[in-house]
Amino acid sequence: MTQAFLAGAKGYAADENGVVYAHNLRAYLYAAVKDKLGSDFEPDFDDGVDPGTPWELFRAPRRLPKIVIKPVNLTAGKAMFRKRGAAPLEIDLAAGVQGIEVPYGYYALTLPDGTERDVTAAWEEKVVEV
Amino acid sequence: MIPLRESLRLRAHFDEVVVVFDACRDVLSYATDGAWLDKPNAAPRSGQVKVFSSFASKTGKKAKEIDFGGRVS
Repeated sequence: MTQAFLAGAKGYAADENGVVYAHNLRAYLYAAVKDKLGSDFEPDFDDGVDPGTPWELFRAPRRLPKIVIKPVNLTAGKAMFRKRGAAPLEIDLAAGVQGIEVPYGYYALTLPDGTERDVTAAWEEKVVEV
Repeated sequence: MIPLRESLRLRAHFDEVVVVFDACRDVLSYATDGAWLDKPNAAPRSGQVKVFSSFASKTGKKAKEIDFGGRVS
């Protein structure tokens, strides 16, 4: 969790204006810790503020986690990478390894065969083999 | 851990307190104090102190270490 806290404070939990708000850091820490340790692991956070009252904790230029799509078994076809409510990004698996920088959060990767993988973006780089 | 955080808040020496408790949260019956005898008096501004708390696990649960490129955290 210390590493997650440091990463969040250094910019991975910052918004587009370079501000790390307490409620964003809380959400980032939750995603980052669970991504590393597994969904059955339960960290515990209290951002100490009332809903709707942003608390500016740190200032740091925003850093974006990188999701690296690494075709290993599926080396052809189109995959779709998307965040709920956002337009999907088409990925040509025949193009080989490719990286996508996205704000931290929870994403879904739909593969050519229709299967869907959950992907959490939080750390500097996450390799997703498909 | 909680008394440490509360002590900082009650004394109100700082406007903001950010604490990271990266440890297990075992409940040890033999180490439980029935009363907080040296609890500081609440400073007038203690109600305005903002506190961000982060715990590696929920109460009674174990934390976990993993390797971050040679550093364990």
